[in-house]
Amino acid sequence: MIAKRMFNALPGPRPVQIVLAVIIGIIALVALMFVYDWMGNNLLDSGGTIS
Amino acid sequence: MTETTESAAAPPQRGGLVVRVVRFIGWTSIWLGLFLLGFVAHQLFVTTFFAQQNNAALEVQAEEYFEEAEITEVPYATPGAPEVTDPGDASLPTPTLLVEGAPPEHDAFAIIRIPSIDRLKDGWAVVEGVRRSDLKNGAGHMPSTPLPGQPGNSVISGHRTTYGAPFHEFEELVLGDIIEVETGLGIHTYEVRETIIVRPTEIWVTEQRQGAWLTLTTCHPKFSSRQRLVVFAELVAGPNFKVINE
Repeated sequence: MIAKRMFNALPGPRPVQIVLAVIIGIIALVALMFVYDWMGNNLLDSGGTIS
Repeated sequence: MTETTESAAAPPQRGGLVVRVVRFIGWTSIWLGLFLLGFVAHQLFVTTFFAQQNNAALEVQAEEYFEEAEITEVPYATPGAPEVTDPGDASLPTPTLLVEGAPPEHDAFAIIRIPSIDRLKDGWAVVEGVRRSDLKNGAGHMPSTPLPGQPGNSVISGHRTTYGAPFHEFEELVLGDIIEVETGLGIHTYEVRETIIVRPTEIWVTEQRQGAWLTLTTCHPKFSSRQRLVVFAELVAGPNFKVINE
């Protein structure tokens, strides 16, 4: 529901909206992986180094 | 009859403040749960999948490095041994140590095997460096310490629960367990002498030691980077064993 509303709010005709949605999706996924990586290194397992 | 039908078909009434707060908490919990579920899946499965793929490539890189590693012989005097006053005296041959050149940073140069640990039976590549990016694909050798098989204390770190978790089962290591490290010089065999748990800042565990030692460090307890599990192992066989222990 929310996703559909966000998709409809994207500018341009339907094909442009689809391309924009894919680009935003990829950026969000990369950002999420970055956050997960940072959290993993700081909370779960930093690699076991001594420093 | 008509009234009942109309009443059932009517849209649900919008609630007041309490309903909105409860709805907000509910949705936030669902999104937070999905975020955490994704985090766990990423850390346990995604990182391990890529680490295993990359480590297989690094093992090939290490094997190629074995072929091209620069190996030299240097005179070696055991600390505390009497000095040879006349190097030309054939009756007192100077022992020579096999030394390999420093491997390129971030490249694989060794393979660690621990026969008593399932995950490390077949080996795991060791790269030069302990940066976060180095440890994502292999175990990391601390560049400021000697290479495995050399006198002193060679330090290798590795992940315990993520990125392939090569050191996952380290709590199963017992005194006397064998650790093999293959480098360009050959296979260096170490025997576990001690395991301890320290804080991550206890840098003394990396200090140099007499003889040839291997120190392995990893996070402790599992799923936490609060402490370090440290395994000290002593060289018991290998290309330089006799020279170092004479």
